[in-house]
Amino acid sequence: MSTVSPVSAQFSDTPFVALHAVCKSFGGPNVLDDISFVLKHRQVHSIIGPNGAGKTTLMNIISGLYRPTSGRVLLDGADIAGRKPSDLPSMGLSRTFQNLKISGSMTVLENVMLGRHRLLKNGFVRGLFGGPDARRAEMGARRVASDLLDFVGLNSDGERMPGELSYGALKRVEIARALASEPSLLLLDEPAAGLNPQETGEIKALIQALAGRGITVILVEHDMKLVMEVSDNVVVINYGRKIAEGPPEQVARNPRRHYRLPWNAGALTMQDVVDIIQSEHRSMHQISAVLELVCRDAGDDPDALNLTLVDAGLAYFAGFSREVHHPKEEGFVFAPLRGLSVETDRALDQLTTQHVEEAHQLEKLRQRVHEARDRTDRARVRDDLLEFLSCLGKHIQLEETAILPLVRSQLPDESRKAAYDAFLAHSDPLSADADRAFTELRHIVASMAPAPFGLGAREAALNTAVSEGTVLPLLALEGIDAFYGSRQSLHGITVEAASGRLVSIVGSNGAGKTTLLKTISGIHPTRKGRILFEGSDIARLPAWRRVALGIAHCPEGRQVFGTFTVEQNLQIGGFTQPTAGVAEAVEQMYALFPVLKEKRRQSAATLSGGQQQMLAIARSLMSRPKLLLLDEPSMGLAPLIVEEVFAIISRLRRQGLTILLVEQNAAEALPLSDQGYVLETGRIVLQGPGQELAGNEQVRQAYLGL
Amino acid sequence: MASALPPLALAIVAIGFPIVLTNPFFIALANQVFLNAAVAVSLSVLLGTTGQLSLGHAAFVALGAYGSALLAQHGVAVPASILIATILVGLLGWGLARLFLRLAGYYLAIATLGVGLVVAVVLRNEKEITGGIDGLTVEPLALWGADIYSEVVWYYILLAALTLIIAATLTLLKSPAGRALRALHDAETAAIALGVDTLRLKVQVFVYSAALAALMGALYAHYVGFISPNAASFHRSVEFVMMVVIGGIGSIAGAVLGALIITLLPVTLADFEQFETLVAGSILLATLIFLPEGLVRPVKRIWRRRVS
Repeated sequence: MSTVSPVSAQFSDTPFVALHAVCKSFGGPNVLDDISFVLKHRQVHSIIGPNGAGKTTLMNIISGLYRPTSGRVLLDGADIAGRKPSDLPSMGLSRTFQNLKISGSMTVLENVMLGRHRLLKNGFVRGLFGGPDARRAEMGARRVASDLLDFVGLNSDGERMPGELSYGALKRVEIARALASEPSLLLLDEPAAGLNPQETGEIKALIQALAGRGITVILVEHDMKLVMEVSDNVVVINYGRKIAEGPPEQVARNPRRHYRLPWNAGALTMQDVVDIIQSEHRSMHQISAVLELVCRDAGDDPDALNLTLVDAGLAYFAGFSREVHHPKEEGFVFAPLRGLSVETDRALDQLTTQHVEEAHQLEKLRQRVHEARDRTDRARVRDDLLEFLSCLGKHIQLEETAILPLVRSQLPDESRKAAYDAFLAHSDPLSADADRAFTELRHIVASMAPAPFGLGAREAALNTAVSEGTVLPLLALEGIDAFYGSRQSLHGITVEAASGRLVSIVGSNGAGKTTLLKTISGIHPTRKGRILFEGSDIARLPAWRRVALGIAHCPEGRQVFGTFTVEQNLQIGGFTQPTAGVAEAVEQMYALFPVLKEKRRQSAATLSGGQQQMLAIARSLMSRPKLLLLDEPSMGLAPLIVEEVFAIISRLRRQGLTILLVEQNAAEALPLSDQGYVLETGRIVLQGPGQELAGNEQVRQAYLGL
Repeated sequence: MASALPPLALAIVAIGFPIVLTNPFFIALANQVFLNAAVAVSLSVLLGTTGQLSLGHAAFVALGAYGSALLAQHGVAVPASILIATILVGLLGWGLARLFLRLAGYYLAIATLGVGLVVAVVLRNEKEITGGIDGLTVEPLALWGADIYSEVVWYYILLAALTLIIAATLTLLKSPAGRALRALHDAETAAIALGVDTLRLKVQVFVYSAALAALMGALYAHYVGFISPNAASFHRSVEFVMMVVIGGIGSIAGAVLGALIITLLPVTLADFEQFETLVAGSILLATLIFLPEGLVRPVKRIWRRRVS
């Protein structure tokens, strides 16, 4: 039986959803600024962009929950302005939600039947009387709903209550419910968020099956692998503006750069090309700064030089300048500027020569890194590297002072346009594969970097009470059992964290990671087992006493106090501290996270996700903990911010703080960790040094998505 | 088959009750239970589906009672007066709902509380019309030319009314509109996105609830033959809320059970004399602390587990 008949999907290339110059502000600056695009019938369209880019606002506008401040939204040619949100389903639109919106008091089947609402005679008075017609209609709806549960692979769960189903299954219930209203357009808001790789695979298969039902899909999603695999068309937005659109392979050429671009208002002005060049320079500067720091840290001991990191950084430079930066500079910027004046030509010649020399130097340097055997070799690598970095710095400086002003003032219009297009990666010589290689290199550099970059975090001494040279583990769990009602969520967990170590606990959603942290901080009771902190059992102490002992819990989802200012949030974090020390501790946090100082008087709710995570970590540090429990600090953050969050975590560890980290993002967490544990359905199934676990085939398949 | 057994047994007990226990005191008590149970059901639908708390339900009951009584006083035949009063209070409920339903949560509760207080004040002070605190004598219900005073006949009338109200409400909750209603309190955004006109539905269920309360109020007035402003008191409104909460918010069987307990508690505790309220209060507190979901749901769960 065909349960879904598209309302109006006759042609696959006619426009179906059209946005014309949509703007949205909530009183302040525009959250969405001049967004226009046209989506065709029967395709999967993805809207991507970092957190805070405006994706969810855009979804809410398309689904009628928000009204645009200006601009129009056309659905199959009809303007949705002035329609009640509850009218939109009858125009063929249905959606799922980023955070589940499923009624917990109805069975799964009834929840799906709710999707049939608009197709049933749903009058209140009619509902009071019932009758054979109503019973027949109800039977029909029941059949459709149960067919749809079949379709999403939950055929046997119809009579269960939503609370009994896993998170991943509930995501599919929402899709079934949305399909029950027989939409021609389906909006999926982060359907894969919080799912493990296997569940994501199921969602992917489901999305692909939707196309076969003649349904147009708009997908908002952070999981780029999923987006690239299922989309026909991708719209990239950032800072509320559309910055790219096209088939996935085209957009994929450099999605990370789209994210990085500091986008200014005003469309194709020359400022944009300069911005892009400068942002590429900044990117090289970042890596360069990391490498310099590595050399400096190694100091007089060349053996301490981290050659893996150096190699990754050099590989990044080599690839990036050869394949991305130099050809575009030479072809689209230097060439049109030639002949302006003798000095300019001389500078251009010099720069071009330097490009060649640089490549040469890099080649030699990398050779040397690979062949470095003894102390003398390493010392030479260090010296050559420092020299190279200084040359690179001078080169970039010359470009920015001598050339970029000319680009602004002298480059003819048509050349500007060509340069702009070239730099925006549409005619980028990069293949998607090469880009992935860059991404990985950046990851390696970012995660191994001795200092965090960006986000305003900087090196500053942390005033933590570290007990040097202790043999006893700071924290030891022995056979912990925990329950939710009658359901056992932790089974005999035994975990150790030695002083000054970073210990990761990875595992999929619902494995019990968060519960484990909560038992340690005392928010969730343990039924059996011991929690030894500095040798004494704290399992029966209330949470507030544990904070005073030196355990800080930075909870999942950050949980900053949104209506309080940044400073007040920090002050609350110092609740257990003597009043006199709080102001000083706040200043320390500002030194650590300058961005927080900048925003000290703003309410925490106005911070971006990444900044809120910084605030949450800083707030935890206010109690001067010996042990920091960190729950999913990377959740919902854009990839670049994630890198930085991890850089901060590894720095805190280096400063002597003991950290117990719970992460779904095992790929980032494990390589950084001294020790790792894999948690599965409430049991520790694997443990070992972090690097080793990251290389473990079983872990790679289950949690790293490789 | 097994599930048809308990309702059947219940029906036999309900119908046979006045035949076996002929003591008019017991029958009068049963009538009180029926009246309260129907109002509790109307409140439970409102509170249990949309999460709207009405702290003024006694006012709707009293308005139904006074409305029908005054209509009868002015010559309207008694069954017709009941119907007209019910419809009028339903209209009032519609107006209030349109006015208040944009308010959410506590604000709505306070607004209905205000309505309840205003009604009580008006009933007490407008002596010319309502008789003030002295109350009003009410004409009896006349069916086929005969005035009805018999407790037993009233027993069957009220039983029938309660049964109809329960049947209609259960049918409603299983219908598409009812399903949408049940989704409102924890998945309202989803309901909107699936085409449910939630505001309209909230108004409708408020009107339904107010009209049922008024209907029971009108029946009460003609059954007892006398009404006073006490019927509209805040205390009565709170009693109705307690019936719903004790039985389990949103549960129809729970509302009936709650009405049974709250109605009979003062009678069974009469021996405690001045400590009656204290004991009753303690029992209620204990129920709330140990059975926060109400009485019916835990029993149902145990029953289901035993069956499966």
